[in-house]
Amino acid sequence: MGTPYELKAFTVMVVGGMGSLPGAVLGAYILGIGEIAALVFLPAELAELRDAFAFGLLFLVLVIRPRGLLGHRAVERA
Amino acid sequence: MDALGEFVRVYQTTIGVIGINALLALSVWITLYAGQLTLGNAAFMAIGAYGAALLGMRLGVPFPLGLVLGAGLSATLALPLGLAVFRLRGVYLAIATIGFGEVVRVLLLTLPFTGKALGLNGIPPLTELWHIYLSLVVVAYVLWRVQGSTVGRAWAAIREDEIAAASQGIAIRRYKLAAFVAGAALAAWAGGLSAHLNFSIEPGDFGFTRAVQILVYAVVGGTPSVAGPILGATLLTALPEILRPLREYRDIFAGLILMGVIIYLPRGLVTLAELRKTRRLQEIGAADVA
Repeated sequence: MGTPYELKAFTVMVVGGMGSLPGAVLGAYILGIGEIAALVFLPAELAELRDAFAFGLLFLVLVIRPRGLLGHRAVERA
Repeated sequence: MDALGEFVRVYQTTIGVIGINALLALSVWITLYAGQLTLGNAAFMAIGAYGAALLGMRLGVPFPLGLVLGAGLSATLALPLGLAVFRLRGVYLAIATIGFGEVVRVLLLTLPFTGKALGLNGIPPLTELWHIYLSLVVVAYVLWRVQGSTVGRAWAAIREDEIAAASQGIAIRRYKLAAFVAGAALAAWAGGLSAHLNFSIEPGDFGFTRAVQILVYAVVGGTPSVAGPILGATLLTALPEILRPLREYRDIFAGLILMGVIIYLPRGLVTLAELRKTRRLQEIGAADVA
């Protein structure tokens, strides 16, 4: 019931950077274009991997740049 | 004794599923106890289930060895994953582990040897009830003992305040990783048992819904003690059976009971006897602290 979209919206937000509006737009473009590109350029039997692309991207961004592409660094206080 | 035997025979499947869900709830409890919200346990369960089933069906690996190998595979995957994701905390950690879960699910749908969307059918039903409950007793006992050990106290310290724990010389990253890997191995063990209990598995069994379900068992039961996740899993798994006379209204009542527990017992069902302590914690704004 809408769960895939919910998850993808979440992904977009995190990829772009939480709390950043331009980041959300950028994240959405990257995710949308990337997913379709995966669909177009991958052989047909691997087409189902397009969903893995979104979450692979999410994973990569979180590991390399945990605050997202355009997010701000959070200051941590004790 | 006869009546009990009859009861077990009639409700065999439900009793088995309760035990497996309790094991899964304990697997997520380990990381929760260390203060880390991870949602990858459904994926680790899938790895254990597919691992044990494929090894047994395709390569003729004996059932116990298949379980061990599935759990080992899951732990081996959890180690690098944990190294990567434990730079994150809070909701980011949860999302990253959801992402991992989705990747695993999609891979199961795509890889040539996993049966794709149809999943695996005709898995030999080798799991006996005593396998499940022996595992549960052993795991619960070990975790109960761990709570009071150096490791358990380190996890609790990390949960309460990471920076304070680090300044006390606790190797935070290492302890978090240990919790994550242990949880992954346990989830895979439960997955292997469930594959050989249920006769068939498919990728849809191990999606986001499953991950949340496992978390709900642990949280509703209560994370302050080992008994919590077991109680939560038992009650929530048995609830649809208990409410069967309500017929089509039973989901509504199950939902209401869930809401009631979360509102009135925010620290979980096991804290029913400590209502006053919970109130006090709420007053000082610390009810989310176990």
